[in-house]
Amino acid sequence: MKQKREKEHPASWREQIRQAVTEMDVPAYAFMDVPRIEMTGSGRLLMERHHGIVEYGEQRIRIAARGMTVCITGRRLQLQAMTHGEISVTGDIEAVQLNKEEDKEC
Amino acid sequence: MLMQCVNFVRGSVRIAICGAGLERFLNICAANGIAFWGVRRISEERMEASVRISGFFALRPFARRCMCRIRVLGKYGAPFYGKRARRRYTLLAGMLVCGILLYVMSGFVWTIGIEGCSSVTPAEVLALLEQNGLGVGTRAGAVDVHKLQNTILEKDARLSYLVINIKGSHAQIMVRERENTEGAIEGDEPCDVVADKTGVVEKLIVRSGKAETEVGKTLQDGDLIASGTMVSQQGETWLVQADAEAQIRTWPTVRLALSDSLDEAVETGRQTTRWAVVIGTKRFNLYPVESAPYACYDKKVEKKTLSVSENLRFPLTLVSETYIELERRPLSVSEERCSETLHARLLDMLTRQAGCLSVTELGYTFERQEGRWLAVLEAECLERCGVQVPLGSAVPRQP
Repeated sequence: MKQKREKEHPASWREQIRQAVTEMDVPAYAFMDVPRIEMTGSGRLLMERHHGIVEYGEQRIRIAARGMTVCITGRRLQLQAMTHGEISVTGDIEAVQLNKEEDKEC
Repeated sequence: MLMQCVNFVRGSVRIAICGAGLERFLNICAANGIAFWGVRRISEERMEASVRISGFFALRPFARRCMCRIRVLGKYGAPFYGKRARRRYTLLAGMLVCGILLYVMSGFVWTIGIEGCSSVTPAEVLALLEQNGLGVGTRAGAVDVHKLQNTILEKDARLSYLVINIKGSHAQIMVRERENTEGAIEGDEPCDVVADKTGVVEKLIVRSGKAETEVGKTLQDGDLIASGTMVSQQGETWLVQADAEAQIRTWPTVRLALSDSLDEAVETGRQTTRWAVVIGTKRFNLYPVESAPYACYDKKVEKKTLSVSENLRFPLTLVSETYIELERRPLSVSEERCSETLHARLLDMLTRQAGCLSVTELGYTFERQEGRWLAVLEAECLERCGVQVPLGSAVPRQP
């Protein structure tokens, strides 16, 4: 019965890669298009593998990534630098929120 | 900081972006490889950012696509400054001349540092160097360092080792002096050991040779301590290099006198500073009068040499000479203080004596004689004694 269900709904190739990568103990961001967020204290945030800016303001910045939106809230937020693969945000960061549904407001 | 320097060299443009789709504009720019930094949201429809010159020219089509307008707020960086200075011929010529001068002058020796001198003075070493072709203003490339080192070592027997390091416009000279070996016995040459002081033997160590004295005996200057002539039981004589060390007890007396009418130099509060510039070896005084400003003065000299780094120094020195006026006033010193000062100096003199191992004070007298203070210190010392002399040169002591 279980085998029949697997045949009907096979795991997606992305899921299979994710499982393989997890088993090999290799960082997921090395193979998959998942965002990598690095914070230095509460004054700087570096995000790799973004999909663009959704909203940009001094109190809130929303950045799109695969399957989620990263919402950064705080004061005097500033986009320090932005390239195709990376975004650097500086300011007084109060919260970083991940929204799995892309359209959901933070 | 590093990125700021890079951006300055490459040049950047500060722009204001106005329009409805500002986020979209940023995304398109990032996707097309146009890097920007210092993004600041001014209002809902206005934003400021900095981009490189190449990025600025690529922005326009994307701005049109996102219905945004771009306005230049400022241009920063070396390319813009260079463009502005393009027609300032005198400035460019000055920079060129400055660069050439810097290049040419860095090929000469402008400063010479000497270290390791003790009995030979640095001035003597400098004179030797100048005589042999290395002085202030010599072209560094024209100096054959190895040849110069050998020549100087050959000419001055007092030096045993000399190294010349020329780095940039600075020549560093390291000197080692030859130890004084006058009268010393060389190699295995047979010799005697004689006393060079007078005293009572406290300890005697004879490493080779025949002991000619013993503990408790009195030695006079020139007395034999160990002989290098040894006779066996069979009557055979053979000569060795005697090696012995004696520790003797001596009773030296040291004296010091001090005038009872002393003067002290007191600053009056007036001072004058004079400036001079030294270019190469020429000194240019920046003051009209040559004579000293005061009859009695103390002079402080400060020299500041123009240098970029430790090895790149220029032949330009600013000299400041501060003359502080002094006034002589009679100094009244109490007898007690005078006695203490002389006692400390006498003890210092005793401990400085060559070979003195320890000082045991015996007596100190302090008295006034013929308008001066006289201090006498009689002490008991333990001293090293014994020098090697050629065989037979020891004077036989009269019984």
